[in-house]
Parts: sequence; structure tokens; C-alpha cells
Amino acid sequence: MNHPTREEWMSYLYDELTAEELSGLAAHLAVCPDCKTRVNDWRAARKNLDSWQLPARPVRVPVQRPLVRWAAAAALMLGIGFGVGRFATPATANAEKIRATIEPAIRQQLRQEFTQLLRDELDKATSATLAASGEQTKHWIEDYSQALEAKHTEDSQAIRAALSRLESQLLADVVSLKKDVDTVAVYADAGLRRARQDLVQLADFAQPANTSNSPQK
Amino acid sequence: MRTAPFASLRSLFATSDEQAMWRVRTQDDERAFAQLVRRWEGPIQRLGARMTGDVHRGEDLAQETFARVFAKRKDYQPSGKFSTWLWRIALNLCYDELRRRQRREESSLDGMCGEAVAALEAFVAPDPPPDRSLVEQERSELVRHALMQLSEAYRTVLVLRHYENLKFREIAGVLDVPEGTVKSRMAEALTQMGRLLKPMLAGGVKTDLNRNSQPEESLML
Repeated sequence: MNHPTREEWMSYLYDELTAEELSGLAAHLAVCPDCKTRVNDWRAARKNLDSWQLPARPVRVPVQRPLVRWAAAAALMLGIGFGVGRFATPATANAEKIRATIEPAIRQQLRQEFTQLLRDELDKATSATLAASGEQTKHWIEDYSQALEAKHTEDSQAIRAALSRLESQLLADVVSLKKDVDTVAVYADAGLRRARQDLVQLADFAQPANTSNSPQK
Repeated sequence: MRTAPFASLRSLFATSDEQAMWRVRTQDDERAFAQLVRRWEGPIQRLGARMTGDVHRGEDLAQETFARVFAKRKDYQPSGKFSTWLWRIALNLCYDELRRRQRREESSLDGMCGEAVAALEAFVAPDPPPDRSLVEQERSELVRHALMQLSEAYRTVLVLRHYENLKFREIAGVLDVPEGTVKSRMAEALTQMGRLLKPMLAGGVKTDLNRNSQPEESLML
């Protein structure tokens, strides 16, 4: 029988095998009493190893030297402050009384400071807004006047052009009318002349007839 | 648990060991160093305790390890895992300590018999936790004593794999030996532990540590 190596058995015991390798070794273990004995011995030794438990100890974190100095200084100051406060205060005074005494004053002072701060901030914000809006308005008015002027110029030019067109049209109409009137006048004159000639001829026809019927003198 | 979500959130943004050590190396960052100490002080203390068999010495060795890490911070190569480097430093300090101890014993206890040495060892052994039963305490002491009898090479592999749960591949990286060598050392270490513990446990947990009696019946095997 081909036995697995002890290195392979170590991987088996500490679960560092693929599923395929694991099933192969398990199958061998089921049929090989020699390997089973060896593996059981190792398992027992492993189990015994777990008997040695180390006592749980808090982890000591080495703190940095500057931090220690600051902590020592802070502790010293706190101690001094506490001591001075403790001995300077009457024995009857307790924290509640001190709090009741100083709390309204602190609240009042804080309120005033906050109100002042708020007022200052509001003033600043208002003046900034006003300045900004005045500047903006001025700018807008300038833009508007420029636009208005441009529009006015444009309108004037348009009106002038329209008037000019109207005038030239009128002139053309007058010329055309004059021509028509002249033509009518010429035709009228010719008609009159023709009528006059007709009258003269008519008169000539009538006169000889009159002269032949009357005696000569 | 109320702290669990914050813990997971912290771990999400936590810097890796390698990043922290890089900061220590390049900027002498004390906060990064403190972070590394917080993370690794426990495992290194345990390694020292298991290798020397002395919990107090384990704590001292952890302090020495981190002092050496800071002193040798410029030697840290960011291409490798920080933990591999750290384990190696800690192990070297453990070996130094074991050799010092051996020299001390050879010089000062030269005339003392084995029993006296064992009695002294038992005396300096750490106090067990008070809530454990006497049988458990004595069994724990037997295992500790058996482990101390293994050679350094076998004990190292056994401590790193069994107690500190490193993979065989990681141990091979720490010791700079092939993985197969680590596994064969582990097999030999377990075999020797079984052989050492069998007579001790077979004679009952109150058996004297140095008694060489043959086992009548195994308790654990």
C-alpha cells in the first residue's frame, strides 16, 4: 500500500488541503490501520497541547514619552486645582450650589455674547448684500439705458428710411400723374383743334350757298 | 453589541501593518508604531511565553522585540509582509534568551542535580489562573515542561503552527526554509510531544516531572 507522507498528514491534521486531497487522505485513513494509529497519536498530542493555557493578561500599550509628560502635567494641574478648590470652598458648599450660583451668570454672559455675535454677523451680511445689490442695480440700469438708446437709434433709422421711401413714392406718383394730365391735355387740345376745324369747314360749306342766292352789289 | 458596527467600520479604514511600518520607517511616526504594538503585542508575548516557558519573560521579550523593531525600522523592506519580519525578530530574541539561560544554568547550577533544577523551574513557573482545577493546572504544567524539552527548531514550528495558527507556508517564510521541512519538523515535534507526554500523563497528573516510570495506561491517548 502506498502510504501518504507525514508531511501530507500534517496538512491533513491542520486542514491545509484541498477538498480533493482531503477526501483522498480520509479514504486512506479508513482502510489503513498503521496510518490511523500514527494519525491518532498525533491527534492526541495536539489535544494535549491545548491543555497549556496562558493566563489572560491585559495588553500593555507602551505610551509615548511626550504623552506621559503631558499626562503627568495635566494630572498635576488637576490635582492642584482640585486641592485649591477643595480647601478654598467652605465645607457646606457642594457642586449643586456652585452650579446654581454660577449657571445663570454664565448663561446670561453666553446669551449676550451669542446675541452680539449674531448681530455682528447679520450686520455684516446685510451690508455686504446691500453693497452687492446696489452695485448690481447700477449695472443693470446702465445696461438698460444702453439697450434703450440702441433701440431708439434703431427706431429712428427705421422711421427715417420709411419716410424716405414714402417721399420717393409720392414723387413718383406726382410725376406719373403729371404725365397723365399732360397726355389728357394734349388729347383735349387735339380734339378741340379738330372740332374747330370741323366748325370752320362747316362754316365754309354754308357760306358759299348763301352768296350764290343773293344779288351782287 | 453596540461596539461591533464601529469596530467593523474602524477595520474598514484601518491602515495595514505594512502601511503603518512604512510610516514608522520613513517618518518615525509614533502613532503608527503604537498601532503596530497594540495589534501585535499579544501574539509576540504569547510566542515569548511559549518559547521560554515563562509568561513574564514573554512580556519582556515582547517589549524587547518592539524596541528592536523601532531601532531597525530602516531595515524594513516594504516588499515583504510586516508580520514575517516581526516574527523573525521576536524568534531571534527568544533564541538569544534561551542561549543566555542555558549558559547561566551551566555556570551557576553546575553542581545542582536535575531534581533541583526541575523544582526551581516549577517554582519560577507562572501562577496559573485561580479558577482552574488542580488537575488542569498540573496537566498544563506537564505540557509546558514537555514543550521545553523539545529542540528550538521543533518547538518553534509547533508554537507557530499550533498556538499562533500560522500556515505552514507562512512559517516557511519566517524561518526561510522549505514548506516541506516545516511540515516534517511539525510531525517530529508532535511525535516527540506524544512520546514525552505519554509517561507523564500515564502516571497521573501528580506524577513528578522527572520521573522515568513506564506508562501503565494512557489518559489521553
